[in-house]
Amino acid sequence: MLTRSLLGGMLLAMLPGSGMEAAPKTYKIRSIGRRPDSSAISVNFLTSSAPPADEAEATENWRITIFATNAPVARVTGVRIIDFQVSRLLELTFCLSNTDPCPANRAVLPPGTQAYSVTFQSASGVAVAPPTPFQKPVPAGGAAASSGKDDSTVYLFGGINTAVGTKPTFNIDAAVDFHPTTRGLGIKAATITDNRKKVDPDSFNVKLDYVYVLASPSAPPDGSQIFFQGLLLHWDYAGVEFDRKGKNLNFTTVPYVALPFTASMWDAAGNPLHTWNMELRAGTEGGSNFRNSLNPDGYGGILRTWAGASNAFILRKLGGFERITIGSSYDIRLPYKRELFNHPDADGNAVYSLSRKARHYLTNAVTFGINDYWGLTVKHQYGSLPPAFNFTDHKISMGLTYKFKEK
Amino acid sequence: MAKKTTTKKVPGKKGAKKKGHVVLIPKLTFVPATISATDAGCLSAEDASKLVQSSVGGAPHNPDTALKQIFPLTSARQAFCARVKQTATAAGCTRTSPCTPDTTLGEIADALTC
Repeated sequence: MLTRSLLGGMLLAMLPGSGMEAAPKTYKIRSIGRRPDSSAISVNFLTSSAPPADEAEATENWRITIFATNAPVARVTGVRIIDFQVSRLLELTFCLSNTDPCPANRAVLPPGTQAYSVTFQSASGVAVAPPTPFQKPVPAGGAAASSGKDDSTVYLFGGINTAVGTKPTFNIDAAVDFHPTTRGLGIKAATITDNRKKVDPDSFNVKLDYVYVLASPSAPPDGSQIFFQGLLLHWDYAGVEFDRKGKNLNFTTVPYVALPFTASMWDAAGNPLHTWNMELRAGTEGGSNFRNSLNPDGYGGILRTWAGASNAFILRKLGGFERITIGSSYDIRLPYKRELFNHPDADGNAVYSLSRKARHYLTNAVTFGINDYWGLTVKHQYGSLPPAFNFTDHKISMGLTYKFKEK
Repeated sequence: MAKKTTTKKVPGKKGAKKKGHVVLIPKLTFVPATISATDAGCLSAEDASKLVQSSVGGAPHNPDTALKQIFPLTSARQAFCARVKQTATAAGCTRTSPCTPDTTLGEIADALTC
């Protein structure tokens, strides 16, 4: 009985005129835009914050304000739903005259218009688009957060390695990857180094590269997600590999192909929940060795088959973290002629030899994103990198990661 | 004399209706649509949105989704942007669209829109 009374009271409170109506919602307009060749102003609500379609379709719910000297009053004459279910997009047509039908040339924004804005008000809520300049501004540059080393313009990882009874050691893993356009020329630089001189990777490289997308398949006929993203040709056409002391120096040119694969899970509002990306790559590293730790005159031409794979998972809103990124990368180099290899002895002393044995390099990293820029990273490394191929036997590091990209 | 063996029929085993009840569930369907650019070499907002959404594929996506959220690897993002450009060009659109990791799907659609 009590329950029924409570329910009745709640229902009564929700009835119009009861004095207890729900507060109007604030809907969010993502952007407004104007077609130069028509009288229409397009309005795009945020997917997660849009009014019901029937309210959005009602002409009387809309107002257009024009900011200009002697600004005319704009009368909204119609609302055309373009794609409200998917992208919350509609168009408002308007007239700058009170006569019906709207006379010709009275449905375009007049010369001298500085800005315009749009207001929506319905029974359920309101939305206001800020004044939009008549000329669309050019997006400004800046820095933004990235999700990992592979997609960062600048990536910096500083780590500390500790073990019982030993002095702590430090290492740096940094990368710069700058491509002003999607296709075409760019520059890449990377370093993986450690403060221990004997056993750890000591690899720097700077490369000029070229990217061309050979194929990018369209969506399958059933409209499902695109799994295979395409085939890309990369050519790191001029690069140098060197170590800290400059004892080892290679010039390289590296053509390779990359095949990216992706899949994402989406929530009901169309936001990505979890993301998976994978890249397979294969190519050839060719060039010349100018000097090395065994021979200051170098051993001349080098040629290696190179193949690798990268894997990235992004899990969002998990365990109190904004984002957890799990990344793995594996590369194998198969030299055609004998190259330097450093496999340290039990005491950690460098033991150089020339060999054709396969050079593996594996990294695994888990980053717990504190915010968009900073993260706590636990990293595992195994293998060796050119030019000196100093072998690292399973090393675990922990550290802070900072990432940003050009906008 | 040999005994005759008989097999008992299990009532209702053959042709019996499976248990269950039909309910209606929402299902997203995709149909082919043609998009084409205006004489000015740009797309309507509707067509631009369709182009970008179909280039990702799958369910409707929030236009505020940044490329880095779904393409953390650079090569995947580059392939996606190439697909957008290729489709837009095939539709007669001459506009270029941004492709930074922070570019949103909505910004790409806006760039292609008249």
